[in-house]
Amino acid sequence: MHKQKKYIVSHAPFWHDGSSITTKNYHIMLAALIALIAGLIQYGAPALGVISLSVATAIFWELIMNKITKRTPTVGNGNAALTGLLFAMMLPPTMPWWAVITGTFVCVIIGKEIFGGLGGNPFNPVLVGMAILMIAWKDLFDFDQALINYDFEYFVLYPLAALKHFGVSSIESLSAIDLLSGKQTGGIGTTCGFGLILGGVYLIIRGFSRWEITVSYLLGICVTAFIFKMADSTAYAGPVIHLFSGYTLFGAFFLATEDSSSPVNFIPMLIYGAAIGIMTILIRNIGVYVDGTVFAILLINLANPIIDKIRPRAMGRTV
Amino acid sequence: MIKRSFIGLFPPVLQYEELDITKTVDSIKTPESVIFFVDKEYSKKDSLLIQPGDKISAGDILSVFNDSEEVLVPSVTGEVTGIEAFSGNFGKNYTAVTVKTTSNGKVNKEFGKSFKKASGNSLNQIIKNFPGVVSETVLINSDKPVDSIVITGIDSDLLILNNQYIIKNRIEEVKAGISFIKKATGIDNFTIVVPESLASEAQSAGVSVKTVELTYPNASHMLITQNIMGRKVIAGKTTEDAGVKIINAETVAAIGAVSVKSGIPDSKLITVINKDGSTNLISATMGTPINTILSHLKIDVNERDRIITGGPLTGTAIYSDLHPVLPDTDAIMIQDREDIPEILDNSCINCGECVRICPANVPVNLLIRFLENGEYDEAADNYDLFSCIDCGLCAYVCQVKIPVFQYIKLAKHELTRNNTVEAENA
Repeated sequence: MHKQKKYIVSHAPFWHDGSSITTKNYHIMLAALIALIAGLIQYGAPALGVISLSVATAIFWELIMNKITKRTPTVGNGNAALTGLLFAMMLPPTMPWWAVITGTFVCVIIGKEIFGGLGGNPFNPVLVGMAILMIAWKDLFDFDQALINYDFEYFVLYPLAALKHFGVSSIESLSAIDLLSGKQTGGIGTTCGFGLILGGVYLIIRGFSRWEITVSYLLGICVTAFIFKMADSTAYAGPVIHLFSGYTLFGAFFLATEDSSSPVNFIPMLIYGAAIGIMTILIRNIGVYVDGTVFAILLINLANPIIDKIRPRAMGRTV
Repeated sequence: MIKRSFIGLFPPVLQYEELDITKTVDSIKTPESVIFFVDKEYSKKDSLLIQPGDKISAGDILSVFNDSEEVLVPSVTGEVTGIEAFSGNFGKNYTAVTVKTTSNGKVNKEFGKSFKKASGNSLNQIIKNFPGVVSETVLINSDKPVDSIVITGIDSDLLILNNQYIIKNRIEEVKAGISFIKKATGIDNFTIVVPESLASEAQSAGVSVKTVELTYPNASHMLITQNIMGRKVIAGKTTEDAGVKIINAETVAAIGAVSVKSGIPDSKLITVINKDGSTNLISATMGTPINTILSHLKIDVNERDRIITGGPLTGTAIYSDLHPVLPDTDAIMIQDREDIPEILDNSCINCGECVRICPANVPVNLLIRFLENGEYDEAADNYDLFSCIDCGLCAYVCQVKIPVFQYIKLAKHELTRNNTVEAENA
């Protein structure tokens, strides 16, 4: 008698290109590490403390939520760790521990888990946490104040705050190279522009994030800042300051490209990126907030489903 | 398995394999017992026109059921030993007829003559037994008259080389097949679609030749109709609705061979895709169980491996190696248990890989949300379910490993079933 072996039966396709969210998340973390290390060198042990606490608590919150909702633990896919890491990179190194824990709670639970976990979030979870912290404890984000006890070997200030409070003349001395190499104050991992660009370009080349969003975002910033400067060059700074200070580069390469809250079609991606860029500059130049990146991305996240309705006609469709 | 490349700036591109002209076909001896499938559900109550114990000859044209036009053209001579029900995928039911072969049995010499005399639906039913036939293919359909016939010299799934081999080596038979079909259908407009490298061979058939780019899924029947024939197929309709009938070169060659040499179309060309991705071309008697082919090629299949009839992106996994070679078994693919990709029930993360690779511009990221929740009508009305051309690329690139293609097939199946039931009760 023929002994029947058991074979695995499932539906086509039987090939897979090998991509996975786990790989993707770890690569994004890897790419973020370049700018992060530069930040750690600049800010030292306190920054390391904030990063570690943030990553650990983000994972912890997701695990708790997994247990409460009785789902298989999803912390292994690296998304909680990534959320914690990106969140911490935007904080000043002097952030008190309770604020970090509250922040990751908001990021992971309110930003992501209550919508059903990864993929369900309409907003970028990192930015939900940031926005709530920035509104609730505004003073914690006064980067110049926070870093008052640091002794840098060079003159630093938070360019956007200086711009807002003291006008264009206060930042005239800043050069693009200085800004890119991190000679400014800001979040732990957001000041080293070279690191962010390097990491971001790596992600784009490997296909982990989409160039359309990043490029149109940066273009949106440039064009809008340029128009403002043309209108009144004594009141508004040019594109260089806006590009290389604050959260701009971090937002362009790591935040706006978050999958769940960004469009997938070509033209919508361009519109989405450009809209964030324009909104960022509007908030910076006209709004009350020093840096508009966080709120700009959140606002345009909200518009994402509508923007993404612009899509090519499917094959064989008649209406 | 082709993995994602290191540079991921653009969607991955899968290429059809081109025929290596030195490739030879390995013939497999007819086994002692073969199985044929008749495309009709079998229940014990049915009175059958053939019974176990009956002697049948290769080339007989056997009616199996009283109340059905389905005919069986056995590829071997022997004795019927069993008739059973067999359930396939998506609720498809067959009647499996097992035949014990007699060596040196006489074949029915009249087959060629009866074939040439047949017309209309009886001709369709005979051709359904020919190698390379796709189960829905009928040559003559008065409900949906077509004006062009396309002969595909390339298989629509990856790695399968059958039709390219036929064009390369049996173009004379294809030519004879064309003139037979011309007579039977009255259609004059023939096109052979081949890869660039086989264009000169195809020319000798004396009909129009068009070439196809080797990027998957360009050889899918839908894309051939739209891109190469320039006909618009409305979503949910078939290529026949657009006036184009597509027939595999293998079927045309078999028709040609019968009409010229009066032989019996008893053997099927099969591409066997090994665990390491290498391919063998073999020719086996139709009805041969797959394990005979595997043991002939000395392919070791272990517990928890996967056996697939068809290609890597659109084939069907089967649960038994006793499954026979059917007229549409173009390939047999063996996948090692280590290579079987994981399938998960994660929710979509909206990365958009599927949308950017979809050849039919289906908004897969939105579609899948409705399919997962069983909202099939909504999916069909607003999210272009029926524009899908069944290529499987969405599931191939899915980062969270959702079985997207399965969801799509299931939704189409459910909707078609509902419509049929509604039409019956109307």
